[in-house]
Amino acid sequence: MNPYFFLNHSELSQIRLFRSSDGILHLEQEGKGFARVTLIRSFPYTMPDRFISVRSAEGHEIVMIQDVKLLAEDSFQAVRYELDRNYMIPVITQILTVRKKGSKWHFQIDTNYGPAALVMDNLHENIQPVTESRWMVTDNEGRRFELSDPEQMDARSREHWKKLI
Amino acid sequence: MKTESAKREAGKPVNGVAVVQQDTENPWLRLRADVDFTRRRFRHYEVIFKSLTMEMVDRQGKTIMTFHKNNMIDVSVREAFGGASFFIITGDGEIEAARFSFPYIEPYRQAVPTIRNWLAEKEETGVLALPVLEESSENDRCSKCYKTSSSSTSKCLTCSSRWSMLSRLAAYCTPYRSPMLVCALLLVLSVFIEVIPPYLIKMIVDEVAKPSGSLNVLFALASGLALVQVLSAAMQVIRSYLGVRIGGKLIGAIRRDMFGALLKLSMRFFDYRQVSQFIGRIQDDTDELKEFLTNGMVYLVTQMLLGVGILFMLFHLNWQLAAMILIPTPFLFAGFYWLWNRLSSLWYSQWQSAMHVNNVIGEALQGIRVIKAFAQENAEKNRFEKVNNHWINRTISFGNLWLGVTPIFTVLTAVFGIAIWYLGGRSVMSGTMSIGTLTAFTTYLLMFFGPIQASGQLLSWLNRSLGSAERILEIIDAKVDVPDKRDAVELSSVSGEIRFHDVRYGYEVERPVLKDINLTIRPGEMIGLVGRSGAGKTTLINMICRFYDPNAGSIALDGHDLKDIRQESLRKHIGVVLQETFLFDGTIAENIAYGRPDNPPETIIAAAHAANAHDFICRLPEGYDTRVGERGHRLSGGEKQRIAIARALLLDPEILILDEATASVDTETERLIQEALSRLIRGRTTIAIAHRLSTLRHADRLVVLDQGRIVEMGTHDELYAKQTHYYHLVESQKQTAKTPSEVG
Repeated sequence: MNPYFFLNHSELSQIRLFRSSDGILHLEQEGKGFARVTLIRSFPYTMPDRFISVRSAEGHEIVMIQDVKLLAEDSFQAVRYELDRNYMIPVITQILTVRKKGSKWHFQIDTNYGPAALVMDNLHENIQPVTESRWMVTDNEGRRFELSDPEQMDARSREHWKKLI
Repeated sequence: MKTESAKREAGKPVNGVAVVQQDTENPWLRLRADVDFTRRRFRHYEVIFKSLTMEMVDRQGKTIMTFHKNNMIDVSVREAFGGASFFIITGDGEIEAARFSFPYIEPYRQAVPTIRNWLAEKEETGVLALPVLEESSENDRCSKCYKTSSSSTSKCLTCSSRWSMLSRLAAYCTPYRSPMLVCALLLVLSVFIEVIPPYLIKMIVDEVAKPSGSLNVLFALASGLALVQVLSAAMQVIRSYLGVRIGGKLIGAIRRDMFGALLKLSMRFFDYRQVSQFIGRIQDDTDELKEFLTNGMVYLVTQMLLGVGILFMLFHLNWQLAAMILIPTPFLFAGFYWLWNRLSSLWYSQWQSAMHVNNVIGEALQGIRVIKAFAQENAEKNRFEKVNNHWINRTISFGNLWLGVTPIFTVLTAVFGIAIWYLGGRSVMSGTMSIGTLTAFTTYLLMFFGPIQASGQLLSWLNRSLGSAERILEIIDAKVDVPDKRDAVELSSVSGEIRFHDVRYGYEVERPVLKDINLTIRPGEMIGLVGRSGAGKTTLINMICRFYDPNAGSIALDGHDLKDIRQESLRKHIGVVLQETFLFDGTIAENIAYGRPDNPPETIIAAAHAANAHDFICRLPEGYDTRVGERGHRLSGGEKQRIAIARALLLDPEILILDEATASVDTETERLIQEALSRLIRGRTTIAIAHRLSTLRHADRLVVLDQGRIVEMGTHDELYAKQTHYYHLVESQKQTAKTPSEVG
């Protein structure tokens, strides 16, 4: 581990991230303040809450948060809010129906953002694996959805999924 | 009055885009959004701009939030992964006004300048004639069904069913109309002939069973039977002969079109796909389709005609018994329907598994050096094993389906045959039917069950071919991202002035790589593109070649928008020397003359000479006839580079692009290349990217890019004296030059 940008637990609990009344995200670390910081997930799929790179307005990395859980409560909330805005990939929780109409695939799904209907030209290009048990589903309009761990879905969804991939 | 006319004007399309004019009550701009950012849920609402306010309105028309124009200072769109947010900046800070997924981003981006203009307008001016681009996807709509056509294909597939797809493929048969007609005629004839033998057998049996049977009649009947068999065999031969010929040509035509379509596709298509899959796809899918269009179609039609013919004979022989055949028919159809859906998804997933296997093989072969260097053969084997097992499992589950279906068909038909024997036998015993008729009847019945039993297999065949057809058309119909306009111009000669105007581009729309690029390159000028890696240098070059079209803004060559120039004509005027030179299978001379194959040897040698390549070529025992490329003589990086320079010299383009042309060569070779390059550059508009900044020192102008924006422009001396971006780049390179470099 490079001690240069990994903070230990006590250092992590001392950094403060907060949103000022004008809506801008700030970072305070060892008395230094940074405004308009941005957050980047290093592992957006596999470890969405770990290894969050905090970058200055100019894009330089200020700190790396190994685990958001180690942050103090208010910082944790601010980070959560910002990450939610920065990563808008709904996670598929259920596959309700799969229909093939003509040459197109019509899916009714449920996601953590609520139900959605997808139309895809084909599956071999629109559904791509990102890791062993994670897939990125892109519909014809370019909207993206994540499907993680199909085993966690209900029996009907699993049945649909098994036939597709 | 003004308002009245504005209302009338509203929505009237101008150049295919609906223009709405401002009005006190009516909104002049509507933007859609689909994410409720407080609850993180999908929710459809609109951001509506009126003359004095901006409002968020939900689907029921209820206003969720209102902002007064006076309170707004600025607006901005902030990209996120998978979507974006629309922010308004007020005196109290920034407020998120809307959040939306990918499809809605571009309208917001396009609207921002107009909204800024609106904010800048004084309130007192009253009704303004701000023409606003309303969201309109007129171009993306299908002319038949008016549904938005898909982003990835040029054809609307909503209104094209599977059958119309088949008819498109059948269009490939048009050139073979007459031999196919002969085939069809033979087909009908042979079906007719095939129905005859059982009837003749019936007559023979009846003649034999008759006490007054005549030998002459028997002989005539037997000879008739023999003749029918000979005729049938002859027709079979002719049909097969024609089938093979037509099939061969047909598959050739489809393959040719698929390859043509692949070459026509834009770089973007290949950026996002594993290319090795297409080798397999061009071969397997066309083969599958050919098999169906030639054999399958013939088989399908034969069996159908035969079924009808036999049915006619059965009813002719004994209609009561024949009527029984109709009993299991509905069950059969239900079974077929069930089977059809199963087959469809099974075939597709099997095809996908096969593609994955192809991809793994392709990737392993492309990266074989790395695999061996890292001793990862076993890891690759395991990866292969995984996809291969998947394929095996798919094949097994497919086999399982047949395993379940076949016995059902067999038992069903067998039981039915037995019932006919029993009922028919009873009729013969009671004297209402002759033995001959019963024999013929059962023979016909067996023949009739033949097609029925085969129909399962046929169904699978049809399904597979339709799938293949679909994927062939997927490539043939794939949307070309940078299409040639119908009225695109041909440029015979160019002076080489390139003008970028407010260009923005991102490989993914939500992440622009180039932003607000404004740059005019004068004819004959040499421009050096400088910046850290990832600054957008290569992308800028790609835009000049029109490998991609800008998301916003325009690029013009000699005043013509690149989109208005035929691509072939545009690229004829651009010569490219890249870091990695690809040599095609062929001789060195052929490779130098690539793009201009009709060049005489004198000019090829002259070009090689000017490119400092002539000497090393002459040192090769086979000289200019040395075979290079994938299967030929291996040239070193510097040698390949000089071939590329010779290629560009021979092409004699007005515009020259050099992308890291001197990277990864030793100092002496670099000198030779530099010398060759300076000859090449003379009198041409040149855009060069170089890792070593010293090589760009003589450029007329250096353009410094940082994070997709032009941050500095000027000569080496000017920029160095400024001591900002360029200065830092030069200094940091000096630092690295002092420390011993790592590997190669």
